Amino acid sequence: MTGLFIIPPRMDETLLIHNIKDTRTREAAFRTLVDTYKERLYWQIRRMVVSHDDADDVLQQTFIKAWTGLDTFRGEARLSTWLYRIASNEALNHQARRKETTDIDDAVGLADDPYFDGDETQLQLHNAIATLPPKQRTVFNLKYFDEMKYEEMSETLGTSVGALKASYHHAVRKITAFFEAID
Amino acid sequence: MKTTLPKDNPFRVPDGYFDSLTDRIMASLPREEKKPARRLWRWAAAACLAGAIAIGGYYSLRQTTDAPQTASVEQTESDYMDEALDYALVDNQEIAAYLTSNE
Repeated sequence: MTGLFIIPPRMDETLLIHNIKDTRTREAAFRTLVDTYKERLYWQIRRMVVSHDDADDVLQQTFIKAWTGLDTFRGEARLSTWLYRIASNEALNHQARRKETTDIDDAVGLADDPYFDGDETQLQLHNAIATLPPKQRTVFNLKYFDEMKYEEMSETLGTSVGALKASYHHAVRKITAFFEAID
Repeated sequence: MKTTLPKDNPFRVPDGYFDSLTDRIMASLPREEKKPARRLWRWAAAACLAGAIAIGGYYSLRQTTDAPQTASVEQTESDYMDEALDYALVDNQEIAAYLTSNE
């Protein structure tokens, strides 16, 4: 399974946004929103926080933030961009909170994680990704696994395209060096 | 690096995770409770007023009659009080629940 999910061609985002803005249809429209984006957002978050339980927590927080912030969504950005942004921030906040309360490295325990089913190479790759600083990790994951274009990433993360490209190339060099060190 | 390192997903989720996820998320969303509580407060106020008027009316009526204090009159009093309370749109339990939920 790749990290890229395709929106069904029938879905009209304009109509969904309209229904979300209208308080009479908001509840049903939000349920549609959750159904449509839950998997994509889950995997984006999971790659950041690694643990399933943490990803589940952050995903719920993401949708709660989206629900309480619906009136701030002006509709000029795509729903996916808006949701990605919230998810990204929630994952980063989660990582920051964890760092304050524990010294446990994300890389420790991945091999023993019952919800990790990769071979040796995948294990090393995700261990390497876990050593990246959180923002750089986000950029790497979105580019490498979701194949997100820099322009959309810029809109999602609020960072310039130039800075994102630099961040990605830096991440690639670090991961390459990580593999060279273990060879 | 893209040709030598895997892009496929090594992470797994518990069985049925995504199936039940939407319901769980919808259930966890904060809901505003303002409107029903406001209505309850208005009913409580109206009920007190109706009850007070009914009781007041009953006592002023009693004072204008010469009915003897017999058991049957006491029974009638009790029935009248019940009837006055029935005019309340909200019962005491609901008022108590509203007051304790807003602590």
